[in-house]
Amino acid sequence: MSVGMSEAALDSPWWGEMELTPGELRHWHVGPYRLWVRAMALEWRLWSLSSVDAMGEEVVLGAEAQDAEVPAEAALTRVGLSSARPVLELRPALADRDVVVRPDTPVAVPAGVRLELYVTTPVWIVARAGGNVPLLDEPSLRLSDTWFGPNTLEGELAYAIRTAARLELEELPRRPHRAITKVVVVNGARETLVLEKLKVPVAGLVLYTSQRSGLWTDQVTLERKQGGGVAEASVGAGPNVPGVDAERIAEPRVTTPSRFSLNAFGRLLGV
Amino acid sequence: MGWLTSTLHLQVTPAQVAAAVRAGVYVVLGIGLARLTAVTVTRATRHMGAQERVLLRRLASYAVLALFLASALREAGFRFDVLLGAAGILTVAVGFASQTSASNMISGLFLMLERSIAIGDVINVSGTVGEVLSVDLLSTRLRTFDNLMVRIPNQTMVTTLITNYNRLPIRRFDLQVGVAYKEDLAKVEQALLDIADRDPLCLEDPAPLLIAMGFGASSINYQLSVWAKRENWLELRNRITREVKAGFDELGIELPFPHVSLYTGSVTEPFPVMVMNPAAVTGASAPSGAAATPPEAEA
Repeated sequence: MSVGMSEAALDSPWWGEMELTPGELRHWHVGPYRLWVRAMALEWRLWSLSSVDAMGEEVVLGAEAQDAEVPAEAALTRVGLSSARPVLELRPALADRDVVVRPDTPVAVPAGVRLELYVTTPVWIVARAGGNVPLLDEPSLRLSDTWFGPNTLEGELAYAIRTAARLELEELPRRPHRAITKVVVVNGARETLVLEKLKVPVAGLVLYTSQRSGLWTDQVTLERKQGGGVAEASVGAGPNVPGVDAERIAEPRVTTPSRFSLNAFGRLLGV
Repeated sequence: MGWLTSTLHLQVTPAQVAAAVRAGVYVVLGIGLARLTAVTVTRATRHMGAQERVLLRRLASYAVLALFLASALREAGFRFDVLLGAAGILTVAVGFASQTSASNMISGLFLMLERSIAIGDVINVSGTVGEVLSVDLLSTRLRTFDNLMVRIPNQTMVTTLITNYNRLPIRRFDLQVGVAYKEDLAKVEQALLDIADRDPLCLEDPAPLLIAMGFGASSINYQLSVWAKRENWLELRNRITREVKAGFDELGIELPFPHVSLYTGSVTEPFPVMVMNPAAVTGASAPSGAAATPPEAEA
């Protein structure tokens, strides 16, 4: 079944369970990510391939496929099981490291302004066999690595993406493989804050699914205090967007309290 | 036992036999307890680094063993007061004899305390690259990547330059690349930065760095410096070289071979070329391989 990405695709999510016929090859396509799965008597075989097209919108849900359709460059994963139950569960999950988002054009936040912006990050595809046996956990889109820290000695590895950092939710293109994060930036300082990059701590966020608007994460709030340097960063419970009926679908990869000091504000913003 | 004493004409008293048995029991007990101590210390120090665990395990087990060996010697009739009496002379003698060993031991302690290397690190010691297997009392053992065991005295380790490849999480690779003089340099620079930008293993921050290294003999030379996660460094090194070659081929940018230009004395005139008849060459008196000089060139 192929679904063009629009309201229709959002109405029929690509995640969920599917019972396979042993020996049969099935195909999934989620944006830039393609997956072929064959359940055998004592083994699962999964071929996966991620294209460089970050804008991919196509969705195919468990369509029948032929061996010849699997590209030679697809990576094969084999998982042996003592007794394979041919039920495949696909789930989205957030990235396993935090993501540094760099707006295409830096956004200036004047003193005293509270700004809401929306960023999207690619999700990971998690495949499990019946009985909760892990088969696969990989990104739907290969993200570039980056280093986030004041110098090359201190800091941490993260993923990097460039984004339009849209301020209007309606302008945000919906894609099946991306989760939306609402970022609230409060500039309590006297100087204008220029957002050149900001780290979204996705590894510590909950992933939600919404009936009408795809995947969402917890809201992230970054507040710069009057002094300029000290600030508080917090994670809100849920997307906190009117009209988004969020249902929890994946837990944070890094267990953290619901409200915590993520880091110094400057480090999150890279200033 | 009787036949032994009669043969050796020894007079062994039952008390001496009992002392020897006690000494033996001390030795066996000491070895057993030293091993038990080593296991216990290993378990109790799970949260520590491999280096500290090995050091503590050895110290504890050697201390237990030394105590029991001393007790065994005392039971066997060895008098420590004699040893202490001779200690002054012995210290000087042992000091001279074990000067190198003592130096290595002290260097080993400094190495452990300084924590510049740890077990499992990949290091370069004076050109020898390998994985640290252990930092022992006298020496450090490395396993090179061609699977050779290298033993380096700790004294050498302290006094020589060591490069640790595992200490920092990100690492830079410098690719030296030369392009032909005829190329548009702005296009070359953009192509190199685009290649780095497209590779997901290449860190976005620190940003790739492009340095014009100058005018070479046959090419204009650049250095493209890209950063990678330490574990991906080798893969990035191979990939970026491949990607630069493929990218330049696609854009028609020439990666030049070394060029040698030959000029005649007058510079402007080309070299005259004459195709010789093989038979004439065979019959000529000129040495093999030497080109015959055309009459007009001699003029």
